[in-house]
Amino acid sequence: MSVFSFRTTTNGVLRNYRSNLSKSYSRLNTCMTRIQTQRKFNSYAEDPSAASRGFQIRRALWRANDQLTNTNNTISKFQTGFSAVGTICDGDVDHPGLNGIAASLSIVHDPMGGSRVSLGQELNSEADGVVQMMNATYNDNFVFAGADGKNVPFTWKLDAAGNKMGLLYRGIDVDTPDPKLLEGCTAKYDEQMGKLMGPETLPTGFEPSEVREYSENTYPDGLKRLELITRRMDGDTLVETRRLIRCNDPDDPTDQTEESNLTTKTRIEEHNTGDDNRKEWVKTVQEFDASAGAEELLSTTKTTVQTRQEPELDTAGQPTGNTVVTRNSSTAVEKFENGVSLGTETTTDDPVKTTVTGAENIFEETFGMSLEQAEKDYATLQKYLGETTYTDIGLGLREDENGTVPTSAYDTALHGLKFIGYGMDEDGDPKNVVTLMRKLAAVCSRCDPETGTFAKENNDEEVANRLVNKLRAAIGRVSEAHVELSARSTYLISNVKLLGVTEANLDERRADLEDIDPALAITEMNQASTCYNAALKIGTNILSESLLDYMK
Amino acid sequence: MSTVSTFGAFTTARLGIYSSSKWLDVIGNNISNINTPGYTRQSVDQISLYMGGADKYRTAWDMRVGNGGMVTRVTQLRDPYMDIRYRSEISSVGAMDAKLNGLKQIANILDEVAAGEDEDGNLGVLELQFNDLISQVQRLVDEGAGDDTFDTNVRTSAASICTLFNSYASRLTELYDNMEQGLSNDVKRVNEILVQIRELSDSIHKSNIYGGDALEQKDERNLLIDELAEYVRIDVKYELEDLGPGQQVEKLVISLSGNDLNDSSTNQMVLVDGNYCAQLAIDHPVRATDGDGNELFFMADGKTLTPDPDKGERAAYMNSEGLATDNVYLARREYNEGYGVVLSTLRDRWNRTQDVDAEVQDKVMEEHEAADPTDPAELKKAQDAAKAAAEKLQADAPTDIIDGKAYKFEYTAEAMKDGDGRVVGYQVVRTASFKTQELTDNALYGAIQSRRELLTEQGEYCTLEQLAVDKNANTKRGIPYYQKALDTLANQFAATLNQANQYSRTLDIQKVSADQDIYVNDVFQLKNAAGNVQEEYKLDYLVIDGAYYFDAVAGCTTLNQTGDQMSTAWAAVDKSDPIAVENFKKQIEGLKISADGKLTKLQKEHLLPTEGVGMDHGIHLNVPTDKVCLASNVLFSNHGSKDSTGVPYDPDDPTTADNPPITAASISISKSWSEGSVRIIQSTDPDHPSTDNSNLRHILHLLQVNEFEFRPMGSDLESGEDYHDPADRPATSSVTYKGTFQKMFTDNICGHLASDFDSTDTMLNNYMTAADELYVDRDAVMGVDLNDETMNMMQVQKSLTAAYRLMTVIDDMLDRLINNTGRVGL
Repeated sequence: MSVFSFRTTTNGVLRNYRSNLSKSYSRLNTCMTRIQTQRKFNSYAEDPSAASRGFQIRRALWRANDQLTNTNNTISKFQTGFSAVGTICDGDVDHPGLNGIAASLSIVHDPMGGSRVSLGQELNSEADGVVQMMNATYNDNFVFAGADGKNVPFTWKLDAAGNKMGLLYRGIDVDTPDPKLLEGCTAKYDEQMGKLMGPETLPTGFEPSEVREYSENTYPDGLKRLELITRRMDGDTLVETRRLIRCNDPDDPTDQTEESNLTTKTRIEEHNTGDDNRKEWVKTVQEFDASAGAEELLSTTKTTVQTRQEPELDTAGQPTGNTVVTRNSSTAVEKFENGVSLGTETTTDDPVKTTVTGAENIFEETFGMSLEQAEKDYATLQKYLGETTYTDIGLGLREDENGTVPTSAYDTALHGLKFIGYGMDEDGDPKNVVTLMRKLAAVCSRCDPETGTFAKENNDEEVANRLVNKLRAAIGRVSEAHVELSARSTYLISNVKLLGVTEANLDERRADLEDIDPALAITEMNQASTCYNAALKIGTNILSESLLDYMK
Repeated sequence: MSTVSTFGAFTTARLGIYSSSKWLDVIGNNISNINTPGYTRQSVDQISLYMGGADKYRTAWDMRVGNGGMVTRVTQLRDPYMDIRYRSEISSVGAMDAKLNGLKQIANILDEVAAGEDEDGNLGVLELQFNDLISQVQRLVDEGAGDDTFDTNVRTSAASICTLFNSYASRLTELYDNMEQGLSNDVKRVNEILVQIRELSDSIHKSNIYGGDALEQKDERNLLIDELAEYVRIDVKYELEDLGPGQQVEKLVISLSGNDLNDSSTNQMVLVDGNYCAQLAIDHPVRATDGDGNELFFMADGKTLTPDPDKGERAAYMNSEGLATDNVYLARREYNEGYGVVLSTLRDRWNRTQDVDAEVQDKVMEEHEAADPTDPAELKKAQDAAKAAAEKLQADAPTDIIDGKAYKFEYTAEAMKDGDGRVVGYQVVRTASFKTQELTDNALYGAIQSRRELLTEQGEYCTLEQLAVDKNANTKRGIPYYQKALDTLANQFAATLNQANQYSRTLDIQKVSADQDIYVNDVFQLKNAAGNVQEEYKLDYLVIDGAYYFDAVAGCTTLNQTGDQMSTAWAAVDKSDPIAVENFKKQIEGLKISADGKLTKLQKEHLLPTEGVGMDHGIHLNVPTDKVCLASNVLFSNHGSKDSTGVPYDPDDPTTADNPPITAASISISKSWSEGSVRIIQSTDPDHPSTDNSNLRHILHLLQVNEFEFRPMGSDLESGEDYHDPADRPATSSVTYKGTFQKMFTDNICGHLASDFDSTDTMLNNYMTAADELYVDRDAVMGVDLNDETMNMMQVQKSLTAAYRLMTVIDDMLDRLINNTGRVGL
């Protein structure tokens, strides 16, 4: 068969030609399609990998565009908020603004006081203006309503006569105090010390555990004495040493005499009486003298305190919230001399009944709101302030079991309370700039309209001075929040630029991946066209010549 | 010296003229057939005539010469080996061409590269719509929380996605129908070819008997065989058939060359055997209607089935028990989807079957001689033994494929007789008849199989049964794969968003007071999008040893067989008897609530819903969380006119029969959403603030970022279990893809298509190039070449001229001899 291997038949040549011509035309068509569509590939199958990446990039581009819209929208919202807070601070034609108010507050200190009443009116007017601005809207949503944009955030609490009694944020009094504000400061009965303790409660244990105090004093005899006190814990016993050293010669620091070296050791034991309402403590104080070198016991004082707690009842037999503590105590003093007991002398005090004011009652007396209500409302306010309305501005939106990961999205919620303040301070004064202005306005309005003199009965002058300082501070906080909002807007504006750059980069990558290089594509097409034309030319020759043409 | 024939030289010259003239005829025939498809160039066989033999007058000095050349026959120049190679290659070309053609049509539907470009240069259709949906959700998150206008925008976009899913599903179904028609046409053409080959073989056979060569008929037959090879890969053999003493003629045998050449059960099935040929048929139900317009099933085996609409049956599929089902996943593949191609028995032109080969027919398998033929008891014993052996052979179902032909065997016990005709025992005799044979995936290769695979292959969605037949079944992807992948995507998309649109509610067992020993209550409320309580269940718990158990709940019959309150039964238990307590606890184990308060699947299914309103609303959990999916709060449904969650189809639960899973074809936005009575919920907390967007962000995250594990519906390849809804699948079941919704479509579905397309295109090019080369190589042997023929023509012309010249010379010579010799003196 090898004889046939080099045999090329007419039809074989034609078939080859047809096949190759078809391929050549197909190649030309592909090149032309690329130029017409400006795309490197026109079906997924032409380049699956590039097509897949192309979709991915297009998706990212689309997202970037969405994120850009979100960012611009947020900027607009923030600018509305910024403008509103700006107006609150700087005022407009009708209002002096908080900064104007701050400048006017010195009127309160004016000894003549003639303008105090009008200042009060101005404060009320400004308070109204602030509330109006804090209810600003953007795109049908209230800007400063946190996550409750469809409902007006700030409303006035009115009494039956329609008088403004306070300010509400989403139905909650903005002056709701922190229920923990007086925690540790409420009155309580210290059984160890056996007395009612005020806000500066001493600790129940011994503290600090190690103290050294050193002092130099010149005594009436003209001599200087050094006093050294050390306290330290030895197990459960407080050991206190007092050394007194006399300086005999002011010019010779070494000429000193130890006058006394007394040590007391105090130990408190709490005894379980088996009744929660009854308690017993035993306080043992031992006094030693170490002046002579060796430590010598001088006395032992043992104080035993027993208390019984019972709820205080009112006339109707209902608990008042206070507690009555009955205290029985006795003291046994044993003195020693040269280590020998001189006997024990015991004294018993009369029982003492003490009424301890309950924490709730103190809270209510201070803030005019029950602790229970404060706990509930304050928690609600905290919940409101914790609300978020995250939006995707290109921070890599992610979720975990708690929802949106905060660092992966941008919180667009603006909480009005964070601008104008909320809650009360320890003095029972509001932190909110609006209610603070109204409280000061009330003080001012009580001044004598003729002389401007403060009303005497409420200690108004002192209150006014206090409130002026607090109002200035509150106005300062509003300004700070205003600046902070500006900073957030600035971040968003830079994010717009970043997204713009991202879009440009993505589009460039997309173009690299999908779009043709015109020069290359046209060159390829010309080449394909030339090949195709050459193939056509060959076709005209294939059938033209054969041996038959040379036969005669 | 030998005798001299005066006119013998004339004969030599005449033979020279004859043979050259015949050769010229053949050259002329070759040239004139140069463009005839399949024509094989012919050549003359010429011999030198020699009149030899015994001659009584022959002497040692005698000198004999030949008597000229003589043409004995005309033959074809063809290389059988080249035929085999070409046909093998053209089968691959046919297979790849059919596959590429099918993939191209699928790509026309699904390939979104360079499709749907808008004026902004955005590309894609479904991909673009997904982007649009995400943008609308972005708007909803950013500025539209609590605003119905934005919800409407999202709904419009989501509805477009549903429409696109529907459209893709519909177009794939349409393509499927067209492909189905294409397969039928292919089978029809193959049958025509087989019949034509048989007719030509018959004709050639007769011609051969009468000494003819039937060259042109062979060409025609070869051409048909070439075409047949495109549809199915074949083996072609030429055998010699005895016609009688000393006479043999050629017989053509064509058999299938399947995918797996080592599988004798699927390979070498005979298509043509001399004057007999088989036919192909597609074994699948044909839909038809009866006289009343009801749809009927017509099975290949003659079964007819009428679906009962009252039972929710639709004329669509048939399950493993032969009953109608509208659930494609329960349908038996071989009855409807498999397109089992059946090979008929071999028949001649008069429709007579071939005689069974004598070696196969009437074969004595066993002999049981009676120990004493004269004893009837012994004969009976031998007969019983033979019968038992026959039954065993019949039951063992011996291989029924012999030499590529499918047989049906029957084994019978027949009497053995001696020379005198007396019964001496019994023998087991096998009688055989031909039967049809189903051609599995491995039995075929070529265009038919490619088309069948486009109609049947499911890729990752294939069943274990399919994988057992074809080990590559899980990597072959036809239209069903793309349909099921789209279904999975649509289902997961709908289920995810439906589940995300529910208010969260977990069982709060913390508020239960344990020291009450037995009874604690919890009110279980389901709220709608407006935050109103829609349904309320009061559940009782029973607390034993610190563990919580559900007490009796209405409708909870499976968990609590009696329906009685368990607390009543518990009260009757003797608490001082630890065995009695333990037994009771075991009895109510299914009611136990896990430590984290989450419901088990069983509890979810049977506690929720209770009878009545709950069932009407179709409360089911179609996602593996403790969130309750309330049908009246869903965004997507399997039918636009109702609010269905697309409840998992459960064959044991008849109430789910009319509620198939959400698929690409059925997905729609729910009725309530379309009417605006359901909205996308902003927060899973019913008491959320007005512009809270927490749940909207969650939905955005699901659409944009979250990577889902897409698990196929149907059989799971790892566990072998059937799942009818992706949510039912355990976490350990096979995952076809993990990614976002968009990536599932573009990277997975379209990516598979593109890779398949790309590789098929490459393979087709390779096969075509090889086939072209082989064609040219083959043509180098069998094709007509003008130069060649011209050369031959010139050669023949010269030889003819020489013969004429020879004749002239002889004529001159004789003229001189006769007319001018011996004229001296005249």
